[in-house]
Amino acid sequence: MVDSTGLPGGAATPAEAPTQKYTLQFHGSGTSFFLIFLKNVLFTLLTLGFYLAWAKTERRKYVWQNLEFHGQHFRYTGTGIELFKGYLVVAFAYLLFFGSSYLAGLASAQLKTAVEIGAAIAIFLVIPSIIYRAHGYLYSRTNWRGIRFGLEPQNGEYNRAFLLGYLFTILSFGLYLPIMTNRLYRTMTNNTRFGTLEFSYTGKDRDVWRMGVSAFFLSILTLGLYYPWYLAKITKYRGRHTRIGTGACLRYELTGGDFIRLFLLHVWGTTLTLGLAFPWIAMYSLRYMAQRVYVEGSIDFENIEQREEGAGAAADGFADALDIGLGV
Amino acid sequence: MRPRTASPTHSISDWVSEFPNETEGWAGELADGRSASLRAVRVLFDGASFLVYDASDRSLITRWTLPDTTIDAIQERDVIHLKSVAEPEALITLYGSEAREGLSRISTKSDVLPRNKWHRLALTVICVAGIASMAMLIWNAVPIVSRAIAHRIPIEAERSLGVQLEAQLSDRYCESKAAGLVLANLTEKLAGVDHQIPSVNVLNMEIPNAFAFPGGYVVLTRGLIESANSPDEVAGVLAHEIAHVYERHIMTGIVRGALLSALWAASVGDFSGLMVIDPTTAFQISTLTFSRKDEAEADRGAIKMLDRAGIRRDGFAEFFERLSESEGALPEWLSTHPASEDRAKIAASAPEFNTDTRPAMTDEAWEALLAVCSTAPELENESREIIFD
Repeated sequence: MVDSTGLPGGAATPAEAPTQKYTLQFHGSGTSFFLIFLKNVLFTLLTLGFYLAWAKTERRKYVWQNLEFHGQHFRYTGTGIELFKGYLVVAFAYLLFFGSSYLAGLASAQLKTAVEIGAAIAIFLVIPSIIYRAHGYLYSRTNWRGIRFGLEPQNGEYNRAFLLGYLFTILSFGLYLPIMTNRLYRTMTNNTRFGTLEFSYTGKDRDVWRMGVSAFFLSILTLGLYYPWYLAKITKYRGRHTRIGTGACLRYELTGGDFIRLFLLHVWGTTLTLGLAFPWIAMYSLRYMAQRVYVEGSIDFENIEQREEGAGAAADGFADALDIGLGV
Repeated sequence: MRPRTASPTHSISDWVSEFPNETEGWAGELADGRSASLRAVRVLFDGASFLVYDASDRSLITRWTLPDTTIDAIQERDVIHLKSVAEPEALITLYGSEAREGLSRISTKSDVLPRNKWHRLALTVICVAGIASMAMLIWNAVPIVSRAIAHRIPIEAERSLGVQLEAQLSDRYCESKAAGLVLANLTEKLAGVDHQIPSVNVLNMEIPNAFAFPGGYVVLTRGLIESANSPDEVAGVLAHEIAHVYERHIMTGIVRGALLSALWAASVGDFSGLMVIDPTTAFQISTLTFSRKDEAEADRGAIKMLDRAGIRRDGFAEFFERLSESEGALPEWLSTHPASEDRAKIAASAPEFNTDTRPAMTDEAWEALLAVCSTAPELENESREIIFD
């Protein structure tokens, strides 16, 4: 047992700590990441693809552990076998889909079409919960100072924001899009936890809608050049309104120029090297972003406690299969 | 003093008295996994366990045995995470190059990658060599495997892929009875006894072309028949298409494409979206290579068929000779077909199986075939390149 002779818990001072900057640093190296990538490709080929889940886990471990927040490194605690089981579930779903479509095809062409349309609608309907659960898995496997992140179950709020948002966006010819993304972000953030520390979002639909619509017209007037500045603006807005506990929020020091720089680096860097420079570019981008984001305010780490385990990995596999993967 | 032996008979007070001095052990922090608070610790390894002491009051906090403990060295930093199955939520972080070196002597599994640059270079070379040999193996094995799979799929199952195209094209088929009979006779003669006879039709189209599509359908265009100098040429092209059907080249191509893209997706995984080595282009080039092999195989099959049917193969050779004269300067590796000149040579140089050959059909039959579309309406010209699939 760990001896708990540290600070007497009840006697922790409730006085607000002074406002400070909690910074992020990323230490990942492109060369190491490239080597991990090479090793993973080899193992995956040797195992005819079965290693994929372990490869992904290894990459995540590397990225997480090299990210340092306020002097402590993150840890990724997910395992290859968890992710592999997730992939098996996806494989089974695929089999079910193609099997039923084939069987329906034996009966009649119309039935086959009906089954396929039905399946497509079903897949669309489950996309939001897959995205949500995939995030839940990732959060629950993210650990800092021995405390897990987590995402509370959603009660269908995220699904509604997504599905209705899609419908309204189409009906409004895109005018609803900023509100939809704001609501998705809000639901996700309001349910995010670090141990017992709760995150919340105070950004207003009205504000982001104004920003989105004006960005649309300004982008047209400037032949799209305004768009990166809109991205910087909305990112900063979201950060400012992302409350961490009661006394802190996220800050981004980003400009449109930063987005343009990273974008050009990605496009040219990968094109000129046929994609081989990707590991270096990815690590550079993470370092670049880590330098430009920090938490401002005060967080009472002493009073944050652990919470129970989170979601399984199946959704992560599904998210990959539907190409709505989380990019890590 | 560093304890040499760790015996379970020690009491806590023994450990306390053996607290390391400032130079012994490694400095770090303990997160107990219950709260996010940190506690400064010193950690000692006694040969069997990690002893964790409070840095300020020098009391022993906990003891993790080596088999229970996971050592995660953070690749790019002198920071090490220790975890133990005994206290799964707790985390010890150690700092400094001394700790890293000391721990790497205790466990060699701690690093994701080697730190030594020569070891890294060796790993790179091994990986590149391994990937290259796997790629070669796959390149050679995939065509064989896909062929074996394709031959096990009944042609009836393949037909479901071709029925739609068949339905679209059949409106434009020429339906001269006499010509149909001539074609059916020729097909039967070429097909031999041990094979199902494919369905052959003439499409009312000006551009000379011939192709086979999924389900064992073969189509010749009116333009092809009209541009032929002799019925033997038509027989040669027809034999080539029938060979495609018998060799199951279309199904083989489908299976091959599926296998290759699955392997590509599996090996590159979720990096595929970020790679600029565009898989589609890579596949197109690889498919072209395979398709040239298929074409050459169909040529050999056609010659065998012509020989067996007792039809002169000169027509086949002449047809490709004429084609090679009109052919552009596309290099062979960018083309779906072997160079026509080479194909004419194959036809001319293959050993003769049958020297007792006759023309493919009588003059009357040839007249009937030439008139195949005389009753059908002219089809608008479509700009399609001249491809003999």
